[in-house]
Amino acid sequence: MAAFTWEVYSDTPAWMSVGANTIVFSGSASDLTSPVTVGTWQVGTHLGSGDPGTDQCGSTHSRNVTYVSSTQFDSGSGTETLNDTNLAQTECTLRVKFTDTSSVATSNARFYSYDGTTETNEAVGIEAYAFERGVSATAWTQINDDSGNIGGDNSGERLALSDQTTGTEHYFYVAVSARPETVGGKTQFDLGVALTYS
Amino acid sequence: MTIEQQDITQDFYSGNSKNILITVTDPNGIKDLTGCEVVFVMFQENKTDRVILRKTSNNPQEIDLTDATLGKMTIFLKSYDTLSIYGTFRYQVNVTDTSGETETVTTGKINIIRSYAARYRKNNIACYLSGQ
Repeated sequence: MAAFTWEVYSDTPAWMSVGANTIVFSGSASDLTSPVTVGTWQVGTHLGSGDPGTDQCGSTHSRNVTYVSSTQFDSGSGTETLNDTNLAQTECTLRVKFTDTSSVATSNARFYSYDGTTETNEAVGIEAYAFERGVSATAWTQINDDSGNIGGDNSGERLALSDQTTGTEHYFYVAVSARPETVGGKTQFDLGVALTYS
Repeated sequence: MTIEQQDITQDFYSGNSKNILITVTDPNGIKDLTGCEVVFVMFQENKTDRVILRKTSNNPQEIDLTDATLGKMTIFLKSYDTLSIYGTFRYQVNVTDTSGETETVTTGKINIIRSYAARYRKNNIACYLSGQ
């Protein structure tokens, strides 16, 4: 039976399941309740029990990757050029794990943001970029811009993930950065992944 | 002697599993494949340097020679072998016997039709961000 697990690198730290928690993008590396100033990028990424609820990261906060420019990021050590060397697996915001009891290959995988209801609708009130580590990419992909009507599981508005060869476990290492376009809490904001496999 | 133009042109869709059954003969009749090594390759037509798929009897899950004395082999194409490919390809099957002699026993085309009905999964996670 195929299954997805969303994981963050936190607590001990180690990769741990997000479970029923929420990914919270905040204005602080240590406080998930800290809001993000409109037009600026998040400074912290956390696990919250709600919107945002209480912090569920454990002893070490989840990894944060901030968008700096189309080819640069900041994971806490200042501005760096975006590539597989500078961004380690354990610095990525998320690890999406796909498993199947039998050995399968994956194809047509994609990563997107949406409003939490309709997968082809963009998330509301945010702009977001994503990056897949491990595929020699060197630039962010814009996956959401509510004001520009960009986002959702639509061609050209999502991050294409790599095809993976046969195995019972598949991992996609993804960095995500987001910023608010307006004041207020953004709850119509989900991240999604979809793929075909055989 | 090579048996050519053994084409597989119908009913093969990307992502499908396929077992290719081959019986090898020589001028004396059935060729005993005991101790032989069989290699199957599939490559893009007109691009022989682009091998798409390779199978060997060294792994019985790839090529089975259980009925070797009867000259029979089964080549297992798994669904994941063809998940991401479609179009016309060529294949070759080589047999190397116990004395090290190699012969291409059969060749042909394989036409893989693009399939849009691969198994599909999706998942999502809730996010939150507060703007000020």
